[in-house]
Amino acid sequence: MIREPLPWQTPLWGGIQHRRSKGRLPHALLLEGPPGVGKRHFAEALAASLLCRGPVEEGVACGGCRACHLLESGAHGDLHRVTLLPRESKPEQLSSQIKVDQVRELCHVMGLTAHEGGYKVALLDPAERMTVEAANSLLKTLEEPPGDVLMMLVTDQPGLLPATIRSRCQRIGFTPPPEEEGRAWLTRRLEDAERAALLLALADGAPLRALEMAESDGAANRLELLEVVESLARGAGDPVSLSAHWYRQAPLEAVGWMESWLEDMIRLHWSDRPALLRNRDVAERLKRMALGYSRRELFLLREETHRAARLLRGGSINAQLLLEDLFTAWGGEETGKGLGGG
Amino acid sequence: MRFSIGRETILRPLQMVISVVERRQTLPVLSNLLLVIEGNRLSITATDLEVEVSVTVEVESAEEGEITVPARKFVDICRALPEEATLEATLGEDHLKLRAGRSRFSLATLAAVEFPVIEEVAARRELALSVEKLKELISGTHFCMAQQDVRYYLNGLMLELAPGHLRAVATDGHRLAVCDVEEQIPVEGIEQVIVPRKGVQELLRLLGESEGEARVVLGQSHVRVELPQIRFTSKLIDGKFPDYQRVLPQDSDKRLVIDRRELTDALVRTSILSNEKYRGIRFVLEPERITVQAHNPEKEEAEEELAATFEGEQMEIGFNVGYVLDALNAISTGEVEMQLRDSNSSCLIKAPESEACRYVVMPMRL
Repeated sequence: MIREPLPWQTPLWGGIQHRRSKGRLPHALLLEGPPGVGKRHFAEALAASLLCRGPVEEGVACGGCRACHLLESGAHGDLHRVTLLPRESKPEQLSSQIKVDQVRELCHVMGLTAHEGGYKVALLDPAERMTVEAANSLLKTLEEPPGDVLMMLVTDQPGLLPATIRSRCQRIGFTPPPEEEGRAWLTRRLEDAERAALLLALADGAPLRALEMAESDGAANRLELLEVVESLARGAGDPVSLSAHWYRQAPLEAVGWMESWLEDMIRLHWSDRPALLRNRDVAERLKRMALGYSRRELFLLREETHRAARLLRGGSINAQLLLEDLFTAWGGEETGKGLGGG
Repeated sequence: MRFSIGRETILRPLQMVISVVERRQTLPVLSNLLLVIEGNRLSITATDLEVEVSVTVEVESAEEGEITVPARKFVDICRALPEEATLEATLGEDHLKLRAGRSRFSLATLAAVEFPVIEEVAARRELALSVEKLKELISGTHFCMAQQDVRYYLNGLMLELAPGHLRAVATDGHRLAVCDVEEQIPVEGIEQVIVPRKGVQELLRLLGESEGEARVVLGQSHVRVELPQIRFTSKLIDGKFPDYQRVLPQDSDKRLVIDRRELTDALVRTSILSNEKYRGIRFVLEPERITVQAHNPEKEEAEEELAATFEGEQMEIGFNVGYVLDALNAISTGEVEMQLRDSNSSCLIKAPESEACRYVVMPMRL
């Protein structure tokens, strides 16, 4: 169970707890910010804090009372989570949307009295995945929930939420912590300062995302994919068979890597030592590759990759064909004529 | 923990609690039943976090303890045992071992502390009345509750405690039911709570299987009804019920008294040819007789004349026949009384010379 906020969230946490002590806690919060900066962590800690029967210093949940035990075992009756459920047809896969029935169910339980007699907390995550119907069915409850309620909507992409939802929430913006702080936190976890610094740069300064990369094999995949792209850039390799292999991995992640390389390549095209560089470990290789393209080509490629990432997040796109297009574009011949213009 | 019990003895309590367990559960422990042995009594509890039902039975060779087991599997096993079988349960390391005759079962368990029981309901008010009366109160009103209405406070049954009576009110915005039982209730002023739909239906089912006395306990956020061997607890709806008094028609000057059975039968027949969606039906009221008429978009028509006593000027009014029939079915007297004013005012249906149950139905423009 998460009880304490992350170190760089202390000011936000203090602000919320202060408002709580004054009895001015809003009933709906929109927690927004880039992935991996700790929005979920904050939401979990705040939920625990509100449900705990005897919070300790700074409102942090005590971890010892009945409410905390129930929360720990996931059986607390007043914490209602709405999230992506497994697909009915393919249970090993998560649905890409939060459905209207899930939200209706939430509205129903929010209308009831609290199980333990205290706060009722709802956690909608990722909120931007609500269908239009789901979002609409939430409006009434979001506006005036009965009793002591805190509804937390967590999202990486607040722009995808309907304005009617956003205007009913108080927004808390999360940003990556100062580099120093993030690096210190990550170094403590990885016990490797150099790796921490690199991963943090790759993750745009978002420490939790960096940690996730360290724990998954994402970083290893990255180097393998880089080799593939390098060979494509030389005109070798077959985009069709490569995409057939890579779409099975994590296509969104792969496209994310490409986006980040292209941005660095554009920087490297102008200068040998750009002020901002994410892929520091492979800067030499990126520079070499970058010089094989014109600047215009690089920008078009980046645009195309960006578009691909957006389509992939949308969820209903054939990832294999999309990757095939991208790989072909790296090959150079079609650059600027294919997807880029669309 | 250990107990032994006849298959017949445990089956009935199991069937009472099992309907509370929902098939799709977000928390694994909610698909389990909580079994607690205290002295020589076994209590079986099921919950879906909204409604909790607990039933107690006596068992033999009991050894105290508590555990949770998968609800459906446990019930299915007990049901499938031969009628005269005796079930012996022993708690092992992390399994509940069941033996009956030559059958052996071992059920997976979850710790009892994980089971979210509703602890003591801090009682604000308590009252006792007969099961019979409570049943009448609920069965006379529950069908008027709204279903999944945005006005969440209508998706339940309002119980009102006043010094002279206990009253139940339900409405879905188109019709309303009010039933009273006279009781000396220890309150000053009026108190209201709203019991959610699911709880009402569950309670009604349990009342159907009980007799004797019911103790109703109102807490801050729960209502608890204690019946012999059964304990029912439900959350409340966190809202305020609208002012239903203003909906009860006050200035009706026309009065229709008619045989309930005849009217019901006539309406059932006529409604066959009413519009399937709106189910509109027209009442033409004249002294000494009334006519009910229905027609549908296919230009089919039905009409029936009935003898009745009608006091007042001739008038016509339309209703959704379903609402009228529900009210007529909830009344048990031979004759019913309908109080009306004009074709735009709502109608009050009740038993003649009794104010115990009253039904208000909004008219329809046909």
